[in-house]
Amino acid sequence: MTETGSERQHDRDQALRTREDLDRKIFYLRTLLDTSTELAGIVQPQKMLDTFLLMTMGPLGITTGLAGLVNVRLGSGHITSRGLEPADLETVRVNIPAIGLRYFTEAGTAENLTSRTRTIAREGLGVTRLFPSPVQTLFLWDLSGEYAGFLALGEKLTNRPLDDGDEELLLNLIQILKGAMNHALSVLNIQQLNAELLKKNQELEEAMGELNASREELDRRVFHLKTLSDLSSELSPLLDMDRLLRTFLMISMGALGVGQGFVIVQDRKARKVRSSAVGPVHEPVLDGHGCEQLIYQAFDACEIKSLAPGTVSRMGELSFLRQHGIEIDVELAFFFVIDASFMGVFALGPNILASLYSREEVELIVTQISSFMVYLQNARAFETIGALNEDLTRRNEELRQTIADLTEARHRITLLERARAHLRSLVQQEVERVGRPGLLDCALILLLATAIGVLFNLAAPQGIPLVPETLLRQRSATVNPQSAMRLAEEGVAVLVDARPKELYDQKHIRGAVNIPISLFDIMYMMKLSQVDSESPIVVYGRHVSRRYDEELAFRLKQRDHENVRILEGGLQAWEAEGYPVQ
Amino acid sequence: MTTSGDRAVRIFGHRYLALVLRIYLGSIFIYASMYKISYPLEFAENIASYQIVPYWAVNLMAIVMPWTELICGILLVVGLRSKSAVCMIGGMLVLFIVAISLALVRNIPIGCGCFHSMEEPMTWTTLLRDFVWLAMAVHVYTFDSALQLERRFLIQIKDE
Repeated sequence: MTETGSERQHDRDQALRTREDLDRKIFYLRTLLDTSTELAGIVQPQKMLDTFLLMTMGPLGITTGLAGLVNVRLGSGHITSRGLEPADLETVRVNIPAIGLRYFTEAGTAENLTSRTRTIAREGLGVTRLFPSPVQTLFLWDLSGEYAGFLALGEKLTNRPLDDGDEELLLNLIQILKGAMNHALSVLNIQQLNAELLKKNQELEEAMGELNASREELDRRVFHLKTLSDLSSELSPLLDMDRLLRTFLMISMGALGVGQGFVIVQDRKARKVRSSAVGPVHEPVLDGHGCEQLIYQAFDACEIKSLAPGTVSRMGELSFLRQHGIEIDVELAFFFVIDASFMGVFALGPNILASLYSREEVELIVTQISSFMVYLQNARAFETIGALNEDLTRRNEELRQTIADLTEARHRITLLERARAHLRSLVQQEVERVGRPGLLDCALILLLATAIGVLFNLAAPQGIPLVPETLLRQRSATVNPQSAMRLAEEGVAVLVDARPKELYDQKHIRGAVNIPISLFDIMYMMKLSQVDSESPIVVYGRHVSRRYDEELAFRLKQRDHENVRILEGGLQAWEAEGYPVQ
Repeated sequence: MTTSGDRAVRIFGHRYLALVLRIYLGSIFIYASMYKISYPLEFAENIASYQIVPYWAVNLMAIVMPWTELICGILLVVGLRSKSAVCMIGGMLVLFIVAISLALVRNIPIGCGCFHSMEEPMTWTTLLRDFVWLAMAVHVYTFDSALQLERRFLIQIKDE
């Protein structure tokens, strides 16, 4: 502030100036109060700058003013002006980063940034041209943190430069602005922090929601895994297909709270159909053809038509199931393929809550069916192994029987070979025996000849007695040669030679008559018919083979000759006595 | 000389010669048995006339001997048990030879009774004939092997 005037006028004017000073001070103080009041309720920096600029230019009578708030770190800020061309305002707005760089960084100024306010006159601005030409005075200040501000003022209406009072007022106003701005920035920071806090809270809530969802998902997966574990532990020891179906059905229905269910599988290779049903339904009885038709329709109703092994496909159209006697209100049905020849259908009725099946439940069922298919395949493999074992056992039995038969046959062959060898030896012996005579043969021939001869002789009319009849007859009376000789000499007795004529011709007792047995009748008539029956007749003639004398004596007795005697010793005794022969 | 001798031996010992002799001998005995079977009484008288057989055995011999001759003759002809048959025939021939010899030695005036009862009285020729037949029997026994029914059958079995 410049003081002018003479010393004389000093006293007179002293009072006036004092008064003016006081008025100005009052005015300034009022201005400061008003500004402070106006800025107290404002929190937005832009509005605060507007109000500050208005409250600054008005009391000082300045026509052109520019106020700004710069974020030094970001190079951005708020700016407001009065009485400045829009182009100039735009220029300043564009230059905000440069202003921050020029005046509020250590590199841009030799002075350290402090909390104090600096004043730069027009002449100090010429080099940068960051501010338009109307700007005569620039006030710079910094705030706490990264913010700083500036106030650029043009000339007063009075075209007088700013005096010390004006500058003090402005500095005080700037101080008020700084306080209000700090407050506002603090409020804004708090609001920003609050907003961030709210955002964080929101994010936290979202995270909690996600966490809860994850926990629910985890619980659901745990439940699924437990269900699958229970299913596995229940199904793993089962190898019987029917029990497997029944157990799977019960566990699946229990896990989902379903009262009705049905499962059927068809093994085309083994030509077997197996099914199980639970609930108030009649278990359908399907033959191979019916099941084939059911499987085909189920495949046709699938959402995904695939016959790849391990496929589980949900069926869309379910009404055809009733045509096959499946009297269930089927809500959910699946077609599954174990392999090209082993397929099945799994159907479930409504659950207890009568609600639709959730996606998770459908996934659980699909997983259960996938596990179930593994056990089905195992059971079928076991059945196949069982069948193979049975077949093997049967074949073993057949083999054992065959071996037994072969052993028996070998034994028989051995026996036959022995018999053959025995027969060969017999034949050999026989052949050898043929080559030599045998006593047995001779005996057999004799025996045969005897038997035939005897039988023939008995039957033939010309048969002869086996032994001579004379052997069986009573012996005739005999006479010794002496008596016979005497009787012959006396002419009492007749000597008869009974031998054949040939023997008689060879030698006979003198005077003896020859009567051969073979010619008895003729010779008797010729030679003895005249002999008295009481006359003694001495008969002789026998040898080792014949006893002619006995035979002849017998026949003579038959002709009533009572005194027939046989010569003792015969012709030999006669000769021995020396009696005459001829 | 040796060759002709061998040939002679070979011809003499030929099996077909033995076959011919076998059939001949068999036929002779079959023929001889016919009469004896038909007229047993006459044959008994013939046996008795030899004065060798005990009187109680004459009839039995007259019954059995013709059948023995017949069976042996048949066996010889068909080649069955021909060795035994020819042995028996040989034995009977020896018996006949002995009987004839005794009869001739004892000068018993009888026919041999070989074929008929009304034969001429036997002579040494009869004895020679029996010797010839005995020699044939020995030949058959030694060399016979052809057309033997039994051997043929047995050899077939043996060869299987």
